[in-house]
This record gives sequence, C-alpha cells and structure tokens, in this order.
Amino acid sequence: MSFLEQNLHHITETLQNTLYVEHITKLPGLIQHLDPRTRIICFCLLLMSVNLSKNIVFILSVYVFLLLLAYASQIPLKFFIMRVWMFLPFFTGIIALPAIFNVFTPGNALLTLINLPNYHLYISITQNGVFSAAYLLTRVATSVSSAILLVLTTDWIQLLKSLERLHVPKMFIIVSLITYRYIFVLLKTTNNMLLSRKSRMIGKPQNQTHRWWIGGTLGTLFNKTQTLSEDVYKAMRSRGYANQIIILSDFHYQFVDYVAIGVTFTLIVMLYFIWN
Amino acid sequence: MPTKILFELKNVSFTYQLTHALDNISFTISEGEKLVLLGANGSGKSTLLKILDGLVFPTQGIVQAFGHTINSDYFSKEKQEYDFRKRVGYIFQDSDVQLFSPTVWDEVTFAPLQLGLSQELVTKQAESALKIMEITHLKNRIPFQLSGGEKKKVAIACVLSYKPTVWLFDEPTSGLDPRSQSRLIDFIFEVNAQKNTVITATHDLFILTEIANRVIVLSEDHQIVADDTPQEILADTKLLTKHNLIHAHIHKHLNQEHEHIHTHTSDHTHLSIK
Repeated sequence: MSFLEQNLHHITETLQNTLYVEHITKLPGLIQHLDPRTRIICFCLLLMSVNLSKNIVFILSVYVFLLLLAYASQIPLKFFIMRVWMFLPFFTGIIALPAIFNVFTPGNALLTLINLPNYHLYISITQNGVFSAAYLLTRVATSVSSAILLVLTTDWIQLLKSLERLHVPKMFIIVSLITYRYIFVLLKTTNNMLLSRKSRMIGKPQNQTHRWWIGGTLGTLFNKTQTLSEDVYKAMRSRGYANQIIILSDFHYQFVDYVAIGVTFTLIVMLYFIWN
Repeated sequence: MPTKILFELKNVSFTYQLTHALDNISFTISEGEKLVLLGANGSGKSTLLKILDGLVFPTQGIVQAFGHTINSDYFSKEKQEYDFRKRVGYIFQDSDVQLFSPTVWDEVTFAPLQLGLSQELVTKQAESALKIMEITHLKNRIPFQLSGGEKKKVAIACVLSYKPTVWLFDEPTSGLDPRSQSRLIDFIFEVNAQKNTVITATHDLFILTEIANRVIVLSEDHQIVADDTPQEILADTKLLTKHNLIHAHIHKHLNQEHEHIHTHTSDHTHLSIK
C-alpha cells in the first residue's frame, strides 16, 4: 500500500472508529442509562481501588466485574477485550518482562535459562518475578479496561461536560471540546488534500518528492488551522464570548445514579475484605 | 418621520498587513433597511461586514453604531460590548467556522448564555429558534455530521436564538442547493418584515431584488462605486461589467454564434442577464 493510500486508510479508519464508538454510547445498556457524572465517579472509585490494592485476586475480581458491566452495557466482549489486550503486551509487557528474571526479582527459580558457575552467570525465571509481572499486567489491564469502558459508554462531549460539572476548570473543558469539534474538520481537509494529490499523481514518486510534499502539506495544514482558529475566535466574539464561558446545565441525577455509586462502593469494600 | 441611522462609516479604510481591503468608505445604514454589499471576490465585502460586527476595527476612519463610536476602547467595557452583541447577529460564509460547539443544541444556546439570559429563557428561545428553522430533530447531532444546508440552518438558528435587530449575512446562498437558497431568501424577507435591518454581502445578482431595497457596489479597488436601488444597479450593465459582476462571452446556440452577458451563480452555472 502506498504512502497516500495508507494515510487515506488511517483517516477513514479513525472516522469509522469514532462513528462505531458513538453508536455504542447510544445503545440502551446499563451504564448508558446512568448520568455521565455517576459514570465518572464510579470509574474513579474502581481506578483508585485497583491501584491501591496489593492483592492480585482483588484486581482480577474487579476485572471480571468490568467484563460483566461491559456485557450489560451491550458492548461486544471480544471488541472490549481486544481493545485492551491488543496493545498491552507491547507497552506494559516490555516494561514487565525484565521483572520475571532473578537479576531483578530474586526468588525460587521456576525455569533456569543460563547456568554457568565458572563464569558466575546464572539467569532464571523466578516465581516472585512472574508474580510481580502478572501483578503489574493485571493492574494496568484493569485500569485501562475501566477507562475504555467509560469512553465506550460516554461520548466525549458528555464526558467533558460532566468533568466541568465536577469542577474541572472550564477553560480546559472548552479547549478540549473545540479541539474535538475541529479534529474532524481538519481530518476532512487532510483527506481532501491527499485525494487531490492522488488524483494528480502518475507513476511512483521518489522518496525525496514524498518528503517535499509532506512538508508542504503540513505547512498548508498549519496555515489553515491558524486561519480557522482566528475565524472561530471571531465567531465566538460575535456571539458574546468575552473570555468567560457559560455552559447550560443539562444533567440531572436520578435515583438509579445514587444506587450505582452505592453498589460500586459496597462491592469494592466487600471484595477488599474478602481477598485481604 | 425620518428613519433612525444605525451605522455611520466615515472614511473607513482597512489594511491587512500590506494589502488593502477597504479604501476610504463612507455611508450610513438606517433602521429597517435591506442593504446588499455587492462586489466581486476580494472587493472587501466580508471585511466590511466584520467591521460592522465590531470584530475588526478600521485602520483609518470612524465607525459609529447605535450612536457610539465602535473601537477597542468602547468594547473594553464589557457591558457596552454585550449591548452591541445583543443587537447585531452575523452569519458567517463558512458555517464550519460558526459552528464551533460540540452539538447543535450547545451551538444554539451559546450566544444567549454568554449574553446573560437566564437558563429558562435560553432553553425557551433556543427551542423556538430550532422550531422556526425546522431543525428540532438535529438538536443532539454533531455539526460535523450535517449537510451544507443543515449547517446553514443551524448557523441561522444560533443567531435567531438571541433575536438581534441587525442581521449580517456573508454570502448566504453560497454552496446551497436551489431549494435551500429559496428558503433562505424567504427567511431574509421575513426577518426584514419584522422591522429588522438586514445587510447581506454577495456577488449573486439573481437574489438582489428579493433581498435588497438598496445596493452598494464595491469595486476591485475596494471603494464604493455605486449606491442605488437594486433595479437601477441591475439595469446598469456597464457598471456590472466594469466591476467584474457580469461578463460577456461568445458561444453557440443551435450552431449560431452570438454574444451574451452573463453572471455566474455560486456553482458557476452560466445564466443569461440580457
């Protein structure tokens, strides 16, 4: 696949992925019925409990609870699990891998890899090392799963607005909301630029030509972004924006939200006492 | 009874770095007028609208609106800027610029909220604006997913939600299909019928008689070259040709070569004037 086709493919994939996630956030699932602020509070409770616990069985119990929640929220389980475990081994796995060896984590050897007494070289995989790596992996996987569950059930707009209601600074929220809004405009512009390039391209260009074109495209896109941001600021000023922003409050707590927070909290306490 | 003057521009010039956008412009706009700023691309129409909306200030000359000189000093007092903003609404040519909020509902409620209306009144006026523009079903949609016509309707609803008395339209029919264009013209007509002032920047001659009772023509040298009724302006083909608003070219009809004077619609279809 050529450079242009790869980029076009990635842009299309990003847009399709966004639309698919948006479709999930609108499903009539368990979490989708809750107020977005409740979801954030429950997410924080789960995240804190997982990161404060030193018991791997407790963390695994929370992971199972998250899988049940995902199922009850009509998220395809395979999609949910793959989203976490596709990348986790590459990032966290690389960090956790050295910990399994006796060099970093001494302990009972499970498997001896190198044993050269004359050279004082002994490398083995230890029981404590495997436990430490598994502990790190499960902790990260559970934390990432809870974050993904939140993002899959709550669209970005609701999420950011809820954060504003939870007293995160308004300026941060507005900048994030506007950024999210214009990512798609810029993706569309980039897509059109790539298509325009493709329509005028004959044969296979040299790498130097590619680099020259990428530089030019980035420059053009930067200029367009700057002009767009200036115009957007004018449009905001025109409608009364004066460095202070007011957002309409359109969230309402229901009985089910209090129940959800109570259940999450009770479950975490119960699991903690059972496994500690 | 004499009509009240809302805007008065005296010897206004505007320069973008080294490029002239407006050169020594002077005119007044009265309450209830339907004014069109007519000019070829790059003649300075959009800049003039931005000056009238107090988004940019002239590099030379004076702009008075509602009896006050509009400049950065005047807007340094928040209340004065709010009072001005409440009275003037601007529909941008590129709807993507104007629709910066995450959803249609956020967009329509943005202005009345910033202008200090109560939450109840904001909800009421925003719902009414959506209903008038027949886009209530788009309330929770993301602007990115809307068509060009829908975006334009949302952009108008955004302004309608705070009921300004002066409406500024920048190339309103640009990029719209014929039905959307026709609805928009009807809307401009209705806005003006309610004693609001409507100022439209366009190069589309086919909507002039419907959206204007006065036309100011801007030359490619960024100066005012005519100020008259739409009928008089349209009859002056010499003026329109000179300022690149129509052009003559020869082509064939049924194997007979002859010359027509043409204008171009926004999507560049040739249409005969005479």
